[in-house]
Amino acid sequence: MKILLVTARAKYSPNWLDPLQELDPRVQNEITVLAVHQPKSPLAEIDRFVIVDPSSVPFRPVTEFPVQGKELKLRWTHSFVRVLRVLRKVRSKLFGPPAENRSSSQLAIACRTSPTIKKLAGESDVVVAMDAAAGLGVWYLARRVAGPQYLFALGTLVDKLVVKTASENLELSEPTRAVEPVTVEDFPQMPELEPASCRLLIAPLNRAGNEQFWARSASAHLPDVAARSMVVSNRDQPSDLIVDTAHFNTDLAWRRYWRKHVVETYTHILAESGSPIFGGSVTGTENQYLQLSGYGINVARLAIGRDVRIPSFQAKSNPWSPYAALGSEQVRHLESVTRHMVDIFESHDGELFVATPGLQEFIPRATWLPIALDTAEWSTDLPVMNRSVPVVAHVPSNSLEGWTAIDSILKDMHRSGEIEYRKVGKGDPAKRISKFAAADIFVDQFETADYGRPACEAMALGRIVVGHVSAEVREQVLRQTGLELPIVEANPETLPAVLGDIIKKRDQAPEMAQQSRDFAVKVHGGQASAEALRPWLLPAGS
Amino acid sequence: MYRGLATANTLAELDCDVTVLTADREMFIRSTGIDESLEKLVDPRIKIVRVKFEWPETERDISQWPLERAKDPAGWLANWNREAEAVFPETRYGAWLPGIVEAAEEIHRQSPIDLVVATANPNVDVAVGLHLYETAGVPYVYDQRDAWSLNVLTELIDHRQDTLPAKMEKRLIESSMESWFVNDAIRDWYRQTYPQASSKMHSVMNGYDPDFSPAPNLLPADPAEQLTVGYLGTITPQVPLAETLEGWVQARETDPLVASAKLEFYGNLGHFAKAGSNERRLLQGAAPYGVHYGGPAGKVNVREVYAKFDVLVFLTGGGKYVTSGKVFEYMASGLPIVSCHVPELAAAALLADYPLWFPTKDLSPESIADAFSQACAAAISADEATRRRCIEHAANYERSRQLREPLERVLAQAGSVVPK
Repeated sequence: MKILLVTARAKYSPNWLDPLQELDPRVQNEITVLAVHQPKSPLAEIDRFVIVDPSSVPFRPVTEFPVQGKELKLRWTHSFVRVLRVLRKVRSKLFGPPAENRSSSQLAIACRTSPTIKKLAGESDVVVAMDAAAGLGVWYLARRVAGPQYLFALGTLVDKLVVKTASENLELSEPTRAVEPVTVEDFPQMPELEPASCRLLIAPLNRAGNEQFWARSASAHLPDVAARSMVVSNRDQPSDLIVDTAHFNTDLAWRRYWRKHVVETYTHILAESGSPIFGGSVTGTENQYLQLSGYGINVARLAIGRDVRIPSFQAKSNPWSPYAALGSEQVRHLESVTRHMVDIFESHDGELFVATPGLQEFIPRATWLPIALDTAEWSTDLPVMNRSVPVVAHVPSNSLEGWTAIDSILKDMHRSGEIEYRKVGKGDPAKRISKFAAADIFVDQFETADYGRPACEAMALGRIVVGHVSAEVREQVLRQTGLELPIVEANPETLPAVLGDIIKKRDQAPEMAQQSRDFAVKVHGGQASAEALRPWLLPAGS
Repeated sequence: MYRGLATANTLAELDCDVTVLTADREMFIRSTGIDESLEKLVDPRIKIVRVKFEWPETERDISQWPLERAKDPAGWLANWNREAEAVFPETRYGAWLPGIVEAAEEIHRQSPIDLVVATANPNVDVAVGLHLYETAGVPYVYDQRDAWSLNVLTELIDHRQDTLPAKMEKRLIESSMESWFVNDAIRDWYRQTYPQASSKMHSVMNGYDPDFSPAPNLLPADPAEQLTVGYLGTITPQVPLAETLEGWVQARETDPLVASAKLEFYGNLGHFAKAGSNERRLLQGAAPYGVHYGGPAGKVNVREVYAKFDVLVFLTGGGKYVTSGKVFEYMASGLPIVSCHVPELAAAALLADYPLWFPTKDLSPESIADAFSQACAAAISADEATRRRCIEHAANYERSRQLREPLERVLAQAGSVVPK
């Protein structure tokens, strides 16, 4: 069967053709991909890769791109395409980018006009639009060429062919699709733990970016405690062990290694947000926690924020709650999920922790485990408020935290020349250190009436932090630490005035900055976090 | 599908004049696929009225799409769904309501209806019952089977009480003569949620259909032959495949009998377009440990596939609200059954009295390995008498036995037909 797959995608993830594995290998398929963008390297599993050049009608050459295992003969069209690319770049520089340059439109025009693509479709039995952006192109092809089937989404093709195969009598004497064994030569492993009576693992989310420093703090400040952090992530993060989701969920060899390591190594596990520890699980994590208890491991649970922040609670107590901006269906879902999670936490027969003081509103019996960071690393000698126009930094978060209100206020103030507004990305900590340090004021989020890691980082760097933290949370911080929370109170309505006031009283800025730094060192420098863990890890009399 | 077929056939056997109101055949072909062999089992006395069911999500032939949909597939579909939900608050099914209500009125005009048995989901089916009840006083049974407001897999509430679907569900339940659920756990949740209607809520379990079930195996496996442990069913992302394979590998390391056995999986990987790449990777990783994936097996092959197995492994997702239709079929085999699921699964109550049931106390590899070991030993040692007791236990769950009594009850209540 000749199959033409049409796509407008710009990036080719490693598993984008995975559904093709479902096809019965006994059926000989010839697969051609028609795309707008080149992959970074030749693809496997297909027979031809054809690229339509996004140039203007009628010069729309269609060129071959190499695929793995096949030799590609260069033709004159390849040179032609290179020339067109250069011309396009020149045109864009001279006259700006064309009004309509989306891949989907380019593909649609090509499918509507190109004789080569018409011929490709005519030679195919099935033409599949691989993504929504390819839909219009395939729709035009269906009007130009009768004969092939025109399908939407690769899964449809797979369903169609698998259903067809399933209706045949399978040869049942032997499995028809015995899978090839996978050999795993090496996989992520935890560095050896130093000897100690109490051995702690913190895993597996690292959402607040704290795990590793909590682990370091516990090891440093508590006697006879050794700790490690593990995170399941497909990107680099500060952690003792980073495991990608493929290993965590589906690598049987890794899962067996990890289970053995966990069971044989740790006495305590701090499990973040009800996540699985042994590997991805579809049967809920409670079962895994029970198993851990069965192995004699003491499991505590840590709530990190959105997992337990019940929208309706928050909406009542905080007029700047983010949930009003969401669709009612989404809020209902969040309400259901968070209530369920709070129920699970409350029924946990063990220690409970929360990563921010505001979360104690939702789980009152939980202990606040202060966010911890290396205050030696998060420090600067740069002064504050010694410029005529102060620099204000803000970390945009996603729509749930409703940062757009803050963003627009700060942009307005930037335009009026009152401040210099700089957005800071969430990603690389090293970049955040330099960007926060270069600012005078850090504006935190207003939506949770609480404070999280970005505010802690800015305080550690001795910046003036502005945000909305409820009176209850402030009182709680004072009660538990003996220190006033040095975050200047503001809300979306008062933010311009509060910033104006700070600018006006700039002589007080060094003192405010020092208060920030002192608070961060005392509460978020690691020792307070270790002390929060102490009663659990080293109960009196143990 | 099987429950609907058995309901209609049982009613026909009870001498009722049965009309089935259903969707057009082409829709089933296009969306879910059909099994023609099942159509032949419909009692010839049953009249079938079909109302075209629009389900644009399943129309994957782009040449049939309007231009506006080709330009923005997701946006066009979202708009269509919004309009359908304005008619009836159930995602994607609302557009069917006017057609089925009109057809029901016509059926009632031609020959007055005494009782409506409406089977969900979709729940829009039940709106026919509600309409005839409110306009002509015809009683109806709401065969809800699973649940609408409650998500039986996640155990979360999908529709809280102040939402339109929950309000509609309440109205459908309260106006019904009886509401049926597939197990006691779901029924009890509904009794608590709608206490004013609790007396008319009943459990009507699923069962197995003898025509599509394994032939009972009364003989022990030959110890000289390699044992085959098998799973037949869709390998969805909801089944605890990783845990099962970990347990299997562990069992092979500790038990020579399991080490010499093989574990075969038959069935589609994943649901529809979600093609189960995680499940495939897990199966690939287990291949060195005697695990084989045999691909999908058509309904015609079911008996043939079961005949290869000496032990069955029952793996399913969900918890206390999930029975799984597979369990009845498995029990009908008379083979040892290893259970890989959470212990509180509703199906566990049915298996508890099955003599060759080998449950796992949790989903740890040790516990699963132990169950595999015991089941493989039983495959060789269990005698004919034990296997007969298994089959006798399963016979209680033959589908027509499950349905007959409740149908007789509602017919008697409806006062239309005196059951024979």
